[in-house]
This record gives sequence, structure tokens and C-alpha cells, in this order.
Amino acid sequence: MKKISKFQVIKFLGISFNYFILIFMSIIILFPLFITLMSAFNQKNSLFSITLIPEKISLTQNFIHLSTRTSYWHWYLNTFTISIASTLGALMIIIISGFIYSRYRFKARKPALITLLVVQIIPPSSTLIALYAIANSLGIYQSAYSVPLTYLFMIFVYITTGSTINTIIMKSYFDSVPRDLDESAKIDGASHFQIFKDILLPLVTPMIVVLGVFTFLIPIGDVIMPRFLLASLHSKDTTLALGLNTLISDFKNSNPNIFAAGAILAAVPPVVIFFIFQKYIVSGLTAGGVKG
Amino acid sequence: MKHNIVYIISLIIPGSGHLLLKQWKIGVTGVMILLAEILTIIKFIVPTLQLAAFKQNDGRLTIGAEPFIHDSFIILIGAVLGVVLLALFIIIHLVYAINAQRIANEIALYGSITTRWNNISGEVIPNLIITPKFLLIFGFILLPAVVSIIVAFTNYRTPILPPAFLIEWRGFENFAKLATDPRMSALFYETLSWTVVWTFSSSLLVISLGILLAVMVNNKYIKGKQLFRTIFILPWAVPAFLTILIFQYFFSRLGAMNSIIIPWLTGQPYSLDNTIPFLINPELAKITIILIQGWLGFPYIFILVTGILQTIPSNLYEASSIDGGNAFSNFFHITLPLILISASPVFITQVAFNFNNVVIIYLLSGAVVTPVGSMYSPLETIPSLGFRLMLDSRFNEAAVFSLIVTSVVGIAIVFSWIKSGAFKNEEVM
Repeated sequence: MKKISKFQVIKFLGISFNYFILIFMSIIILFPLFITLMSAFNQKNSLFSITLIPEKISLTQNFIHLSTRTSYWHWYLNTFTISIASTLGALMIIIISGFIYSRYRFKARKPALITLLVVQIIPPSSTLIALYAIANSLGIYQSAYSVPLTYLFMIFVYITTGSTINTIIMKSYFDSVPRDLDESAKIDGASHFQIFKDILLPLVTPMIVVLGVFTFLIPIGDVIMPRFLLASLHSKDTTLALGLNTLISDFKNSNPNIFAAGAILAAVPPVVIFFIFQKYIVSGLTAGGVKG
Repeated sequence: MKHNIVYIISLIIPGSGHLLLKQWKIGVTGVMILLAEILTIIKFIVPTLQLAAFKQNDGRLTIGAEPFIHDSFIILIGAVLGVVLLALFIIIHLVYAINAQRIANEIALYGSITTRWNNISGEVIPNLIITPKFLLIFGFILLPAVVSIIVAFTNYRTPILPPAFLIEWRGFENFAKLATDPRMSALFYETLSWTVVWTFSSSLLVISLGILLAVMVNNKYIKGKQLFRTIFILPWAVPAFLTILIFQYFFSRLGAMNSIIIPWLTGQPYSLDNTIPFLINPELAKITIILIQGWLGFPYIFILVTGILQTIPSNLYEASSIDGGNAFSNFFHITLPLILISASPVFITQVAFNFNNVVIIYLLSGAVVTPVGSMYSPLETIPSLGFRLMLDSRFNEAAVFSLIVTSVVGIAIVFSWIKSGAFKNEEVM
């Protein structure tokens, strides 16, 4: 029989302890998500469930209730419209100005980059009071289209806040593409626009994806700005975050199973996007040191 | 010395120096700009600034002279714009003066001009392309930030809303209220102590959990690294507001914590009467909310530290094992210092982020029992209290809180820049 040394025992205990902690943490992470998933398929109409797996499972019931009893799909549409519009707008600014800062040397370049960096000091929540008052002064709340206009206003805010530090990150990524490529293309007679579109753009796509995902996720998760700026009392005018909050905090009108169904549906696009681009995001994060 | 003369006269009348140097086109443009400046100052800036601090007959200093005719807020924005325009005019004069001086120098040295003012492809096009972005930044970040600060010095709050009322200047009254007004100061100091506890304990939890799990998963004897990493990234992939709402229900009297986990741990059947008020009792809610933030926040640090761990050369550990180092001494003498060195700027911004995290407080403080006589939940932090005050249309008091928040976040971010050497780094610039 092989003799087991003291060192091996300690190592074995250490690894078991490691596994114990990791599995315990995994359970802590998965359990609330698992319960929510189960609750979404729970057919029983009680307020609470005392079993892990619901007794009666229905794949569709809570989702049907979600569509018929709440304005869920309006919230969904509102939220994703804002998100997609902000992402497209911000990406356009980020890509073009990142290219300009990387490839052109002009007098305003350094002051502009420093401004982009320094603007980070201002937390977006600190501008809310004035944003509300500005929207009010612009007549947004008095107009017949107050809700779409408020959303448009918010999209502009998201585009602006999403294209400050991200522009610098994009610019650094453009910098990592050697300028020799541009030079040789220029010798072959390519225009500035052709160099940008045909040579640089395909090479910086990974960073465009990362920044696109970041700017896409921010409006979805924002509770603060819509809560403060949206003045409408109609349930269908609100966003996912605010709408789902009313489902969970107002027990009279709803039940947790419907909330769970809504939460699952809302989580699907971000989670799918996140895991599709996970590799890009992780590498972009460690390279840029960006705030998540 | 001709170049000094053109410098000084160009400062006063932009273009005059260029005219003297026979640069007709630029000279005439400069004089036209001056005329436009004078027109703007007379027609817009002076009247707006006069209205921005109008002395009423009863001695009050208001923004605008008459309600309904003047909208105080528009005048306030106009005044800020006016000041910005004045600064812009000064910059234009300076640019003209410097340019005239350079041209004079060149004429003196070479007899003609070698550099062109209008280098179309090099200067104008890049500036033209980045200008819209800076207009957006000015309109949606800088201007609102400045106006929000100014609001802290006024009485802009719920009944006094323009255009029916004129906003009044109140100096430091709103700041003084934090110290003098008994209710306000009690609220402020209670909130302040909880804010400090919340910021540091949640950051500490997030950072230590992230480091610990990353190091544990990275252990070479652990199998299934990919599975653990995928699970630990999950809280980051699901939008935070969703998980916060899930936890709001999870920890409620009806939620799974009370109906499934506690009965399973204690063996007692679930009944509504002996549930634990996780998010109702203030003290318990404070602990719960910190734990939830730990759950939500650690994946970011986890990913970051996992990345750093891949860069630590393994021969460091080999050298340590020759010297008789064990797992603990390796962690405290090699791994942890190296992580702290590369990630400390991120940790600082993480602290700032937790401090300014209004969403979690706003969504979870709804059920907490509010003490008698208090208007706001004991879970409110300085940033979230500022947000509550905004929702109650107490804008002037909220602005004071916003100013505090901006200062704290700003200092933290500048500190993290110094740590990471952002300004020195040629890569960034």
C-alpha cells in the first residue's frame, strides 16, 4: 500500500474545500434564477410555492396572462426601441470619431480627447434635474406626443453618455491597427473613405461588438432616468424595468408567477447576446478596463 | 517688435493684426466676427444676464422679472449659454492673436508665410466631424451638470415651478439647511453614516468575493473551470434590475427564502406568521441588501481577476515552492499583491459605482418599515435620497445632494486615473 504523506492529505483537504466553496456559490447563484424559472411555469395560482418544482406545470399559462392582463409587450417594445436606437446612434459616433482621433492629427485632437475623459467625472444621475427642466422648457410634456418625445430625448442622452469613454476605447483599438496598412492602400489609390470602410472597419469589428453590447445593455437596465423623466400615467407607456417593478410591488393586481414569466422573457435577449459575444466582451473588458 | 503689436491689437479686434499684415481674407472675417460678437452681447447676453438676477421691489433676487412673461428656467439656461459664449469669444480672440503673431514672426524671418491657415483636409474636416458630438456632450452632459449645480443655490422646488412662479436666488441657504434645519440635518447624518457603511461593505464584499472565487477556480487541480466560470458570469449577464426585482420577491414574506429555504433548514413548516422580515426590518434589510449587491457585483471583478491571473508567470510559484511557500503564503505574497497592483484603479471606480448605485436602493427600499416621523426609508443613501427628493420635486435640495455625489464620484475617478496613470499613458492619448 502506498503511504499517504501529510502533504497529500492537506492538498486533498484543500481541494475538497475549494470544491465545496465553488459548488456552494454556484448553488447560491443558480437557486434564485432556478426558482424564478420554475415560478414562470407554475400553473397554481397561489402567491407562494413551498416546493422546488411546481406541482402543476404549464408552459404557456403565465405568458398568456402576461400578454392579456398587463401591457407587457408595450414595455418590451419601448425598452428595446430605446436600446436599439441608442446603440445605433452611439456606435455611429464612436466608430467615426474613433477613426478620426486615431488617424488624423489636428489641433483640437488632444483637448477633445481630454474632454472626453474628464466628462466621466460627472455621474449621469447628477444631470437629471436640469434634464427634466430642459425637457419641460422645450415643451415636451405639454406636447401631444409627449411620450415619444420623452423617449427621443432619453435616446439622445443615452447616445451622448454612451459615446464619451467608449470613443477613447475605440480610438485605442484603431491605434492597434498598423498605419502601414493605410499607407499601402493610399499608394494603391484608395480614398480616405475606402481605407476606412474596406480596410479598417473589418479589423475593428470585435471592439464594435463589445461597445455595441455595452451601449445596448445600459438603457435596458436603467431605472432612474425613465422613472424621473417619464411623466405618463398610462401603464403602456413605461419601460420594462418600471413595468415589472409594478408587477412585483403591487400584489393586488398581479401575481409573482406572471412577474417571473415577464422577467424570463426580458432576460432572454440580454443573456443570449451576452453569451454569444462572451469571448469578445471578456477580452475587451480586460484590455480596456471598462466599467461594466 | 511688430509681432507683439499685432498680438495685442488682435486680442482687442480680431483680424486687425491680419489686416496690418495684409492677410485680407482672414482679417475681414475677423472683423465680421467681432461685429457678430458685439451684436450677440448687446442683443442676447446683457439682457439675459440682467434678467438672470433681477431685483424685485421687495428685495428678492429673482430669475426673470415677471411670472408667466419670463420663464425662469429658460432664462437660467440662456444665462449659462451667454457665459459660455463669452468664453468662446475670448478663445476666438486668443486664436486670432496667436495666429497673427505667428504670421508676423514668419514674415520677419522668411519674408513670406510658410504655413497655411486653411489646411482643409488636415484641420477643417476632422473638426467638422467631431463637432456634432461635442454639441451633444455640451447639451446633454455639461450644460445640465452646470445648471443642476446652479439649482442648488435657488428655491426651485415643488410649488415654485416656472412659468407660474419666478425662481429666487437663495445663496447657500440649501447647504446651510443640512446643518441648521433639525429634520434635514438628522436625515442627512443618518443617511451619511449608512451610505459610508453601504459603500465600503458592499465594495469589500464584491471585490473579495470576486478575487477569492477567481483564485479558487484558477487552481490547477480544479476540474470544470469552464462550467464554474459560466455560472459565475451569470449574475452579470442577467440585467441587474431583473435580478434585483427577483430578489425583492425572493426575500419577501411569500418568497422562496421564507417558503422553501428556511423550512428546509429548520424543519418547521412554512407559515406566514413566523417568516423572517428580510426586507422589512431596517437592520435586517441593510444586511440583505449588501449581500444582494455582493451577488450582483462580484462577476465583474471575477472576470477581471481571472484575466489578470493568466498573466502571472508560473515560475514565480515554482520559485516560491523551492523556498517552502505553501498555498496561503503564495496567495498573500504573490497573487494578491499582483492583482491589487493591476486592478486597483478598477477597484476604486467600483467603490464609486457602489456609492452611486441608486437602482438597487430604489427598488429594494420600498417594503422597509419607515420610522415614525421620518419621510424617507432608513435604507436611503446620499445618492438615492437625492433621487427621492427629485421625485418629490424638491429640486433645490436634491441639487445639493447631486453636488455632493458628483464631488465624491469625481474625486474617486480622478484618484483612479492617477493610480492608473491615464494622463501619462501615451496609449490613451
